[in-house]
Amino acid sequence: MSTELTMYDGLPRPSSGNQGKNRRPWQAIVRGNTVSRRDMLRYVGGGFGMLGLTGALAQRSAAATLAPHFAPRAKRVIFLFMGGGPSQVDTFDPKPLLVKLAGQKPKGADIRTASPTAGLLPSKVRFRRFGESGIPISEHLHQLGGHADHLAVIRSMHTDFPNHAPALCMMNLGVLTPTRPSLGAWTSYGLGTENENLPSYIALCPGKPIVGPKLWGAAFLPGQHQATHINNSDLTPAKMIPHLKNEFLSRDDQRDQLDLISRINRQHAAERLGDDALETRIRSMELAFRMQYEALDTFDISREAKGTLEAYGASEFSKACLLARRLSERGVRFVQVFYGSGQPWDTHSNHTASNERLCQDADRPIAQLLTDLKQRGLLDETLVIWGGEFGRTPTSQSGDGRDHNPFGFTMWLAGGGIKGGTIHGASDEFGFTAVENKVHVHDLHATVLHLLGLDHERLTYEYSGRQFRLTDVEGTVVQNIIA
Amino acid sequence: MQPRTLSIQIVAVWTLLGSLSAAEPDAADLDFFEKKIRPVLIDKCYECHSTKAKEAGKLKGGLLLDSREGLHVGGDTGSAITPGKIEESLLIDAVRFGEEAYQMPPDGKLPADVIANFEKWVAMGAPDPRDAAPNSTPEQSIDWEKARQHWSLQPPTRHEPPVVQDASWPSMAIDSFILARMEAAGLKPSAKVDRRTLLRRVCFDLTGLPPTIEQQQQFLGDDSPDAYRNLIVRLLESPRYGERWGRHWLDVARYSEDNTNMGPFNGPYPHAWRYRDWVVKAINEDVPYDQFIIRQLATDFLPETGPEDHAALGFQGLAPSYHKEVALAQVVLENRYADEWEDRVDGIGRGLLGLTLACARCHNHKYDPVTVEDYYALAGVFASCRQTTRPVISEEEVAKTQPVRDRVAVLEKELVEPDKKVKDLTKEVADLEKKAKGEDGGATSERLAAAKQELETATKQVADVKAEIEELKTTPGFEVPVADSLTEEQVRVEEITKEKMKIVYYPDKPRDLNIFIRGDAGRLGPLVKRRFLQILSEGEPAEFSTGSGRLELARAIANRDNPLTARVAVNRVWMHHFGVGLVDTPSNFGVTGSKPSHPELLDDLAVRFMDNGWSMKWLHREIMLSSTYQQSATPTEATSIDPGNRLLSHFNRRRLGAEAFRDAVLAVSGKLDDALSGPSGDADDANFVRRTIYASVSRHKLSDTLQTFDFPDPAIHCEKRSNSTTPLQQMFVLNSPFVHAQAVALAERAQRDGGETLDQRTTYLHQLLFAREPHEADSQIAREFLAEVASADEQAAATRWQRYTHALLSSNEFLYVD
Repeated sequence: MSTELTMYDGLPRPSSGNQGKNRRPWQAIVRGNTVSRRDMLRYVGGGFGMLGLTGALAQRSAAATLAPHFAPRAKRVIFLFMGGGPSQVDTFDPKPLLVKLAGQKPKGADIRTASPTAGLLPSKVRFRRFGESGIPISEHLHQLGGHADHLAVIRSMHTDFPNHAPALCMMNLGVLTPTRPSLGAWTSYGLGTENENLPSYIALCPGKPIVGPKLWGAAFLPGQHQATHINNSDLTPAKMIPHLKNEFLSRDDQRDQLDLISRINRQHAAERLGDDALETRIRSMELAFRMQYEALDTFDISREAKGTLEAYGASEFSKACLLARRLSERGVRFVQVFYGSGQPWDTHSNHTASNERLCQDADRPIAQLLTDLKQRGLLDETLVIWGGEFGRTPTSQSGDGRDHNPFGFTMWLAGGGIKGGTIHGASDEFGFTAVENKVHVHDLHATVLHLLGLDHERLTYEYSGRQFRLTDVEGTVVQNIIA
Repeated sequence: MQPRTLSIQIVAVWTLLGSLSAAEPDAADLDFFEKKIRPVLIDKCYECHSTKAKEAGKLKGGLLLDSREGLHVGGDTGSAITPGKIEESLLIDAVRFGEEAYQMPPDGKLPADVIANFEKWVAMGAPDPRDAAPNSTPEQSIDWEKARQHWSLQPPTRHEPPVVQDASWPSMAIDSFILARMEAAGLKPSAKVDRRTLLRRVCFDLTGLPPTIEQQQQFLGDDSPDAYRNLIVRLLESPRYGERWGRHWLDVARYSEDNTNMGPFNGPYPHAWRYRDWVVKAINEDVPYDQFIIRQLATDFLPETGPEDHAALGFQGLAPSYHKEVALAQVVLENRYADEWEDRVDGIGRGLLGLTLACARCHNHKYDPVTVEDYYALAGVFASCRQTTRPVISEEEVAKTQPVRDRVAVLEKELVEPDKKVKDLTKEVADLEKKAKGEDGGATSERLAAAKQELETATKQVADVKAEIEELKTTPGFEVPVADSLTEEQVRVEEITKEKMKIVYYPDKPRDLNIFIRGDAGRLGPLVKRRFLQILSEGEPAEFSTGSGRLELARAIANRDNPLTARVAVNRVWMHHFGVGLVDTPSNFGVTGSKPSHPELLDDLAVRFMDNGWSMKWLHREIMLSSTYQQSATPTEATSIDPGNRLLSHFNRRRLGAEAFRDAVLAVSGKLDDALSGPSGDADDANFVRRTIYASVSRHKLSDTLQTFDFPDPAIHCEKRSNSTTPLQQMFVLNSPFVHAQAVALAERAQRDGGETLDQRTTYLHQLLFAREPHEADSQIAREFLAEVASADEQAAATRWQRYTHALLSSNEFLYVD
């Protein structure tokens, strides 16, 4: 690691230089923090965020394009985020003992979370075993059950904080405070984009989670890696992306105006030869023009066949899942779908009915998304993640309610590189605390990056005098769920 | 639950290494260890719990099992064994896979006989012949003398400008330093920039706005030798200067008006703008930089400033505050506050000193001479302060209007009863009316009439009181103007019950902190007195003795003898003039930071900056009057020798940032409202036409417009902005209602003020936007695009002009400064 300590003053030095042999292309750029225009151009990333190089320029830079550390198992990610925290004992982690000990508070069920809870609250949900693997899944998720053999269900997730804001930060940023880049930003930074006409990272959220855009931010990573937030509460493409559509000019008139801009810029650049930044912006203008139309198509789910639209269903989340598929198949590296605004899965009261409604609403689109990806041959290269920032208590809160539970909860993964039909880890007999093969959020992050071909210990960024990474100093890849 | 902590590399274990008594084990015991225990440790444990694992960064839980000390001292959760006591030994609990234990090794429970051997061994007293682990490195003590040799920790000194070959080029001391390095590398300076380009450069640099046509006429018409100097002086006296350079400071101060998420203990900061205004004013007044720092950290300690200066404390008073709930456990809440102190220490560390002090929250800094004790000595200062509002008027002023507020409070209290009465009577009347319908006359209607009467009286009474309250509230000075600042109050989390905490404030009770082992408030190490950094102190640093120590801290930072403060400040100013600092890691002057490209220049400039009363305006003049600054942005020769232009053989062409771009659009369209100060507007609102520094800055939801143009994340200190070129930016330029509206206004302005002919208007627009006359090629482009205008109807002609002005606003020449 001696190269990390090499003093860098940005001054010219012999070409044999002291750029560390093992240094990844982007580190050569970010390390010194002087980004020359040439460097900037070498550093090609994605879509909305990035320079959007085309033609000869892109070819020239292709050699230095970001690459995974090792062969990836998945090329892109769809993270179905159930904000508020779904209840594991009512979805994927059945606990019959809750019925037997209903209302009681035996040792192990007397743990304090965000606030005190009463005795054990049995789940009213019927579970069924699905697929050859026989994974037990709530009957309210029976359509998803049809994909049981594709799922790796982790029943031993745990996190560090019983309140939404810090737990949301942990799940999305790998730290309790809103000061670090998000999982999607790290992915974008590590892998760049697959489609330079679209952003590499998109967050679909109809409104915003309580922490807000920080959950998909880039913090100290270069700004292009933050997600483009799409407010999918209105599915008119032009309303989802700010200023996507020119309301004042027809396409021909816009082309005409752009040609004028281009002439003006060419004239300007001719007097300033050799400045790549000027050239980059000229290209960026053209890209913006093209993107207006590509995005209008990409974001327009009404272009889907009627049968497909029906198969997903009519709810907001249904449409978000369909849109996620459209984005993903067009090469958006990381799509995060937030289930609703705020924290819909936060069922402190009226839990039984809410849980049923939420599961039933989420069931069909998620199942259809998996079906779609499979049919298109994309499931093998798309990693689908489902879960919230924490789980819920098996004990009751205000009668029919469940409180936050960071000690044990369930998430599942499917698709690229995942060993389907797996149950990994276990919670205790009440479903309160993860006890067997525990998986911390850091471990989940390490695993996701691993599946994308990124070593979580090597995906680093120098900031504030040290190398930062998503998993801080933690994280172990969960090998057992990898095919 | 043990919250995981931040970066954990080294612990101050040596502080715990007290008396390790080890009775001499006999040979048979040791033989048992060698045969039954050591092989298992090596095979199953060393991968994650050994010095080697530690060196490879794979150490888990801070636990070393490859030495006797390691076992006894233990890891994050304490000693691994208690010799002789099986049940108290965590190691045994772990290998037994106990319910609440670590369950080690992670790949599966050991065979029962092996576990039995471990139990037996602990029962024997855990005989262990091993000495300190091979190559074990306890927390290395810092060699302070050696550490002080690092360039930035050496006091800066004056340097004679070096002798250069081309003695005619330098016009300021700076130039000799710059030219000497160029000459050594075989480079020559670029030509002097033409006056129009220079004017545009200087105006954007100092005011963030393009030169007006009047400014162009004034400067270009001034042939005197002092014309350029006078221009700089004029611009430095313009209030626009403070708006431009104040914003640079707000990046350092992570200025924002709210928090990422909000609650009772991390609320928004509705008075934040007062700090922003304070900064703008202080910069305009050229408050000496040392005073500028001292006032922001401790103005309330100074006799010469009064409450009107409280807004200065927004530097830390507006710092990010994180989510807290009183239902959380005490230690969890303490850790939240500890996260905040980390930000405060980072704010002074990277912001003022160019040191990454926050690295030392969990362990001694790995590269720089900053100990974990240093960190807690500084964090204690902020643990002794509370973020809250304070009046910006004197107590006497507050007292004058206090009776009115007291009266309002009384009235509001008095309203409670009548309010309830109105509500009750309303319900009663409604009920009675319902009832009365079913019967005729009688007791019900009698009561109904009475109730109605009572209701009328009560309603009137309530209305009268409310009117009085409203009236009183209009009393001048009723609202006490306050600023988000700091007070001398220690903030503590205390238990009401196990389930409920309270946040308690203790005025004038400063708090020394214990070291939080690995940054965790739940694990306390030794107490550290509040004091300044050891490395920046002569001998032992003196304990802070006045209140929290803010003033002593501020004076230690803003001090001639502090080798960092002036260097860091000078470097930031340099960065904003040239695009890159002499040190291109402007907030990290430590070992992992960059070395200065021109160390002697930086030092000389830093010393003279202090000699000249820490005056920022002096520094601007010194830099801008140099030949280095007045070079053309177009290099005269190939730059393969120095592609990054670190030797400054030409000026760096630069893109306008979020604020300057938006402000420039408004300035040329003629729509800019140049009102100074006051509450913030919304940068995303196309109708908001004040300078962008007066737009609100949110940690929760940053304005899309600002964010699109690389505005930094206001939740963390920003050392320098990124400079991306993205299609989203271009969509804003091409499609947003804001730019469209300004293009329309600009076309109208050209029509109104630009003369009659097409060429005259083209000239006017080029002057407005680019501060130059159009070239023939420019005029040709305009003539061709606007050819139809002459024969078109009025509306069509106007539209064509709008498209032309929109194109000019979208051009590279408008966005870039040569």
